[in-house]
Amino acid sequence: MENYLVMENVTKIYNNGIIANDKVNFSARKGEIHAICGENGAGKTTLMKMLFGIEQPDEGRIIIKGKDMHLNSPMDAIKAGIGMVHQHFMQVPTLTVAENVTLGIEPTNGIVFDMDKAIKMTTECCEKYGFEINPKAHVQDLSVGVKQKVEIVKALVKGCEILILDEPTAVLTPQETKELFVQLKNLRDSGCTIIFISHKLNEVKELCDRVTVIKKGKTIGVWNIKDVTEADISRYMVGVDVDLDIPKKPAEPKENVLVVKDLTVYNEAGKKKVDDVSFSVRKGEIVGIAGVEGNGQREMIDAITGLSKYSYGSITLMGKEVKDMDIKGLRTNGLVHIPEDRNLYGCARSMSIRDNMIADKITDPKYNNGLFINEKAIKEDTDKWIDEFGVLCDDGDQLVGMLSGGNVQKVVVAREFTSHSELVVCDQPTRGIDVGAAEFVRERMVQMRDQGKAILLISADLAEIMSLSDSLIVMHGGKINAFFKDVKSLTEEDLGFYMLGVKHMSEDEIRGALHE
Amino acid sequence: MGVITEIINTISRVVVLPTFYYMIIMSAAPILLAALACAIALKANAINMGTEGIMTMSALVAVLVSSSVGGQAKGGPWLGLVAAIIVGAFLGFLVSVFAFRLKIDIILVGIAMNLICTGASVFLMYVLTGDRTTTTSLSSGTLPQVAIPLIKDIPIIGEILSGHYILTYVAYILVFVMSFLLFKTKLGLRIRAVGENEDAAESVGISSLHIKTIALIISGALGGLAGVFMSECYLAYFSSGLIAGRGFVGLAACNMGSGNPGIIALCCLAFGIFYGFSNFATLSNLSIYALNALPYAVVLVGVVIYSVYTRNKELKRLQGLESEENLEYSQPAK
Repeated sequence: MENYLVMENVTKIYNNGIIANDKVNFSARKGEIHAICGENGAGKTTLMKMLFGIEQPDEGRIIIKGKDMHLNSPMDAIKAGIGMVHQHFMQVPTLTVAENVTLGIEPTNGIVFDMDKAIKMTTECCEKYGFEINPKAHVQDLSVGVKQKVEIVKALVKGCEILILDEPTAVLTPQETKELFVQLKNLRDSGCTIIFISHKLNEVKELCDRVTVIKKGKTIGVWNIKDVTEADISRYMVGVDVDLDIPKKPAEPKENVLVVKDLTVYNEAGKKKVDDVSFSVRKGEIVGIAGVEGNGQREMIDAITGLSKYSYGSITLMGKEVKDMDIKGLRTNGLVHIPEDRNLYGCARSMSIRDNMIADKITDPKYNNGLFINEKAIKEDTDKWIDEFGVLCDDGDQLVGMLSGGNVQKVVVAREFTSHSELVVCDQPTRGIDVGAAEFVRERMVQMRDQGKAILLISADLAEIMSLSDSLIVMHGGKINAFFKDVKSLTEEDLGFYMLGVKHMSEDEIRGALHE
Repeated sequence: MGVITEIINTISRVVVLPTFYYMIIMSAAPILLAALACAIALKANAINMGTEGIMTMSALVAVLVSSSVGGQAKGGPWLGLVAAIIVGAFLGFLVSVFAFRLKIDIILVGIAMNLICTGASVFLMYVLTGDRTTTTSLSSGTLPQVAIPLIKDIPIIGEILSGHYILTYVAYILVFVMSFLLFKTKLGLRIRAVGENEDAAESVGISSLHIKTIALIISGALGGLAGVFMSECYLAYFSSGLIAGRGFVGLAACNMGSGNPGIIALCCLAFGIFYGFSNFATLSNLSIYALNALPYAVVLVGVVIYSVYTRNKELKRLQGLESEENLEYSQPAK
C-alpha cells in the first residue's frame, strides 16, 4: 500500500540545545491505525507538534500524498487534512457543541453566525461516522468521554484525513475506551489514517495495525502489530525487558504509623465523598488503595495529606491527631507526599531542580544558619541526589519546567524520599512517566519500605498496585469495599469485581484493614 | 432616628418628580457606555482597566476639537465626537500593543493608562487654555437633545423618556448592538472563544492576538463615546475630575453582568438611581457629601452581593455535574 504520509529525516533541536528529534523517519498508510510508542521525552510529542504545524522542523521533509509540505501553523496542517486531538481538550466550555465544532470555519450569513448551518454540519458529521452527540449541548455539561468525541468530530468536520490522538485513553473509563476503539476502527475503515500515541501497550496491541517505536529522539523501527508482542514493544522502547515482578521480600510490619478511623469527608459542594473509612498503615509495609477514579480516594488522600479538611472521624499520624496541623506540621511529624499532579502540587516549574529539591529542607540548620543560605551544602547534596535518582539534566540549575515528565517526577521523588519521613504517601507515582523511570520509582518505594517506612500507595495501574502492595484496600462509593491482607493470591479479574462494586466483602473482613 | 426620618422624607420628596427618572436614565448612560466598553474586552479576556483614562482623554479631545473648529455653530461637537472615538480606539489599540505585543500585564497597562491620561489631560488643558481646572473659557458646545415625536406629548412619560441627549439614546441602543455582536456574529463567537480558551481558538487557526486587538479597539472607541458624553452632554466643558470614577463604576457593572449587555444595562440603571439622588441634594437636609458618595458605596455593596451569588451558582453547577457523573458510575459496568 502507498504511504500517505511520510516524515523523512526530521530533526528538531530546541533553543536550549536539546535534540528532541534526530533524523526521525515515520510513515503512515491510508486507512491504518498507526501507534507511536516511546518513553516520555523520547520525542513523540515533538514529532506530532511538527506534523500539526505547532513546531517547525530544522531539517527533513514532511510529505503528504507525495507533496512536500511546509506546515507553519496549525491552520496549514488543518488545510493539509491533519487533525489533532490534544491530551487537554481544546474546547470552549460555555459554547455549544456545534459552536465548538465549527469554530474557525464558522458558517455565516453575512456577518451573522449561522447556528442552524453549524448544527447541520455537526449532525451530518456525527451521523456519517456514527457518533452520538447533541449539537446543542453546552460542552461544560458533557462527560469527559463525550468531550473527546466532540474533539474528534471537530477534526473530522474540517475534512481531516489524518487524525492524531495524543494519549486519548488516559482520561477515559474502561467502557469509554472500548467505545472509542470501536469508533476509531470505523474511522479507519472509512479511509482515515489514525496516529495513536499511547503508553498502554495492551491498547496499542488491541487497536493498532502497525507500531513505530521512538527512543531518545531516534526511530527504532516499524513493525506490523501482529508480528510483535507487548513485551517486544516495551523492550524496543527501553532496551530492557520491563519486569513488573519487583523483587521484594515479604513485609515485616511493625507498629502503626497512620491510623484512619471512621473518616467521613464532604466535598465543597456538600456531598459525602468518603464514608466512614477505617484503616491503618504500619511501619515496613506498603498498603495499596485501588478503586475506579471518583470513588473517594482523591478526597481521602487530600484529608490525610492536609490538602483539605475532613468533617468526622480521626486521622492520627505517629499517634498525633492531624486535624489542626498545617502542612509544615504534618511534614515535621513525618509525612511525605508524592502528589498526583506533579506539575501543580509536586514542583515549582519555573524554579531550578536544586531549589525544588531543597524546598522542604531549607529550614534545616544544615542549609540555613538563620540569616544566610548555605549554598555550598545545598549544591553538594542536590548534586548527590540528582546523581542518585538519575535525573537527566544539564545541571542542578536547570529549570524543572524544561524536563520531561519522568524526570520531573524523579525530582519530586528525590525531594520527598530524602526528607525526614515516617509515612510516604505516593499518589499515582508513575502515571504518565516512562517505563524506566516508573521502574526506578517502584524500586525506591520497596527500598523505603525495607528501611522501615510506612507507605500508602494509590495507583490506577493495576499491575503496579498488585505487585507493589503488601496489603490492599479497594474503595467503592466512598467506602472500603474490600481488604486483602495478602495480595499474592489476588487475581486482576477479582480485583476488578471489587473495584466496580460487583462483589462486596463482609464488614468483618474489611475491619482487618485497621490494626489495633 | 432623625437621619432615618430625613432619608425617608428625601426619598418621598424625590421619587414623585419626573425629572428624577429623567436623571436616572441620563446618569446611567455614561456608565453604560463605559460598561459596554469593558464588556467586549472582558469577553475577549483582555480586561480593559484603562477605560477611566480613555474616557478622560477623549472627553478633553472632544472639547478641544469642537472649540477649535468653531464650537456649536460650526458643528464642532460632532467633529469632537468623531475625534474622541478615534482617540479612544487608538488608546484601546495602545493597550493591546503593550499588553500582547510587549507582554506587559494588562492590569498594569490599564492602571498606567489611567494615570497617564489623567495627568496628560490636565497638562494639555493648561498648555492650550491656560486653565488648570476647566475648559469653560472655550466654547465647545453640546450635542443636540432629541425630542421623540408622539412620546414627547405623553404626560410624565414624555418628560422622562423624551428630550435626552442623542448619546443617551445611542447608549441604550448599543446594548442591543453589543448583544448582537457578541452572541450572533462570527466575530462575537471568536471573541468569546478566545476569551474563554485561547488555546482552543489558536488550535483551529484563530489568531487570539488579532481578536483581542479588535476587541480592545472597539472597547476604546466605546470608552471614547462615554468620554464625549461627559464633556458634551453631561456638561458643556471638560474639567479635571470630570469622569469621577465612572469608568471604574462601568467596570464594576460589567463584571456584575459577566459581560452580558442586558444585565449590565440593569446594573447601570440601578447605579443610576443613586447618581440620580445625588442630583437632588438641594431638596434634602442630608449631607451633600454623603449623597455624592452614595453611588460608589452602592457599587461596592453590589459587587460583594454579586460575587457571593456567582460563587453559589458555580457550586450548584458543580453539584449538578457530580450527580450526573454518579449516575454514570452507578450503571452496572460489565
